[in-house]
Amino acid sequence: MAPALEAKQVVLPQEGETTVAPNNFLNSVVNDATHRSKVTVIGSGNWGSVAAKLIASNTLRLSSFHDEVRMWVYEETLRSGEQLTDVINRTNENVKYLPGIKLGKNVVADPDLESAVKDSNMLVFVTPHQFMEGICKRLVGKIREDSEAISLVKGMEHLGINCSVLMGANIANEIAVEKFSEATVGYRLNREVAERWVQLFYTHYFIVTAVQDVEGVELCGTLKNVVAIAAGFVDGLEMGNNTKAAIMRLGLREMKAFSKLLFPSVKDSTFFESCGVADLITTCLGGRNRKVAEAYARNGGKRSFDEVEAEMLQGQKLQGVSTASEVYEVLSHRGWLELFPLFSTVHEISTGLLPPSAIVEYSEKLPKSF
Amino acid sequence: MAPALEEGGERETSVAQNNSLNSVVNDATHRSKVTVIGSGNWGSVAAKLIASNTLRLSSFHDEVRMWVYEETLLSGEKLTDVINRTNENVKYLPGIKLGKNVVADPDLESAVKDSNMLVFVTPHQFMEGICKRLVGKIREDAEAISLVKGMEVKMEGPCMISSLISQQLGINCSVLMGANIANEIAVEKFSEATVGYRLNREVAERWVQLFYTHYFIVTAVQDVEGVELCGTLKNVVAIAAGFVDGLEMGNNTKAAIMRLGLREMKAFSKLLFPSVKDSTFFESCGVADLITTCLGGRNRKVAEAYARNGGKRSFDELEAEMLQGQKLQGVSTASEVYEVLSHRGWLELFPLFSTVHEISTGLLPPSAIVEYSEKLPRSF
Repeated sequence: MAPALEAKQVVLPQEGETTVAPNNFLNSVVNDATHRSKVTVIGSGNWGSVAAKLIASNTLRLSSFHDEVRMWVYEETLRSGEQLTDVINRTNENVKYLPGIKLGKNVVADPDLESAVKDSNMLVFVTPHQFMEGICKRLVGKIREDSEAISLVKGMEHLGINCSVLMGANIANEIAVEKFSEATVGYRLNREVAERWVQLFYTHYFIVTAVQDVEGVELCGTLKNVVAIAAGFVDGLEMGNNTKAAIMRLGLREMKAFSKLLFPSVKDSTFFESCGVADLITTCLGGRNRKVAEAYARNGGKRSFDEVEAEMLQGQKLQGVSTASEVYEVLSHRGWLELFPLFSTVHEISTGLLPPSAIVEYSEKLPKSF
Repeated sequence: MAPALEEGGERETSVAQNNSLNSVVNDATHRSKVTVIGSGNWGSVAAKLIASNTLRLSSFHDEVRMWVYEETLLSGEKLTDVINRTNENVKYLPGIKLGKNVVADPDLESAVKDSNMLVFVTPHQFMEGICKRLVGKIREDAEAISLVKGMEVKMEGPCMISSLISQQLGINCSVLMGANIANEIAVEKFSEATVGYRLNREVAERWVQLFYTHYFIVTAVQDVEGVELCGTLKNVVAIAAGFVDGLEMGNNTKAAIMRLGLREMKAFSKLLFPSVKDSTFFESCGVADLITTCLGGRNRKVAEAYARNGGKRSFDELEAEMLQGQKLQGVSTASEVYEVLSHRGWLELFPLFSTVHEISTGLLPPSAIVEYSEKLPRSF
């Protein structure tokens, strides 16, 4: 089955979108060291290791890239006494974060951040969000001026270089075993750069599409977690698939409206991409946000969200709850609460102001249009 | 929680039950009279929804007629008599009161007499016969709405139920589709639907008024074809989702297939009807109904069983065994869509639709649902 038709390409061609197979025109760039792109993956956890595997399979095949893919590893000493980096380089496997999966002979683990990025012009950021700022500070003045970055976690603008994002309905372990999945690259201006990122990640089991909409792609990745909380409430109330589908759809509409109010450049079409509807479906069917919200609703909101969260996640915080709180602040501050009933209600339920059943208690008053 | 923000201004409307139409002079000549043509599971629920609203709104006659295809029950009584005595459709919606103002009528002509709002909720295969019987028997100013999801896609294009009604009866026909299962709405679980209308926004608002309740949210979009095609094409995608489930490929793969299916639904609809709007696919009839159908439903269930068997037992065989001779809409629609694609040279542009048909006819193994070639489809 060929890559699925992107409707806008066929019916309404738009500048901002491209689906690129791994052997397009960029591969015809002169096969010369000065022209070939060099890639470094900054991060070596579960998703970082999978990203390195995907990229390494493509750099080997495409003459427009250096074969070698550097992967920066936050050094750890394993129980055996060996350094994680040494084991990765000896076994071609991240035994701690992605055991049993060969990364590719051309992946070289490097514990030295400066050394890992040296001469690279394509930087792939896949580190936990809380470490991003520190890493960026260490990289100031240490990277090529013509570097391009892509974030697989959250966007970052600290380095004065262009940064794209990659988001979508994908779980690292499923991609590692080559289960079919997909993702969306959000890019800012340069379509050729976007095509290069697509080339780097695209495989027959990992379909990548590029859209000229960094904010839209990134907001999808954040706001979906609020909708997943709502979906969890519906599951906890045992209201069935129709109610859940309705809530997911209404959530998607609010994601779109909120994104477009904050960033008028955001495109409707982005929400049809993997980062939008597909990631929303995945997150509302599984995932921690949905799971904890379900437990909260089953208890009828009698135990606080914090309590249920702490018990089920051993002190980790849910992104959906904190995002709902941040969104609520924005809505409240701008007088938009009535326009976003689902987002507002998720926050009010999760803070105990409303019971879980409020997720489907619609008033018959229309929101003000704007 | 208020009805969710509907973007897009002119094209779209969510109407609460007490809007301007309710201020129409409370006079018999102005009040709309409603007949529900059909009294099965969904027909009975539709009558219940409508009856609750006609009682409250002065712009409608209280009484809602419901045409019943007469049957004799095991007790020897006529179904119509039992409905009118108990206020319950004991055969197709037991345990649910329809509303005192619902009157069952076994005579089609009598049921539609004086009605100017006709709600069609009969099985697809009976529609043509019913329309023929109604020719010349309905008011000239009548408006129709179709709740019938079945629709044929023929070589020359789709034969829409709404078009059939419009052409045969010479009246305007809207459609109502969405992520809704009759039994869930009957017990007032929160659900929603989309009205697709052609030109007259006021007519659309009247339909929304008739169906809208606090647990059944209705939105109107000016896109009959888009809404109706969503209701049909989603079943093809549900077959694909079932294959993924049978192959135990997980939620990410399933979500990807659902999204790609949604894109093909959109592209196919827009190629056949350029007037179809992208925004329609964000409505209940689009993404929500697709989600529901891909999570549950017969199409998904049988396709899952087919994939689990590695395609060794034919689709027809499994279908007969699991559904007692009923036919799956997804398989037949996939076949009809394939004919259109083949005839117009569009097969490469719709890999998911094509692959569903080729798997269900045994030309490809179920695993082909995720075996992508790296060749891009030709753009045109």
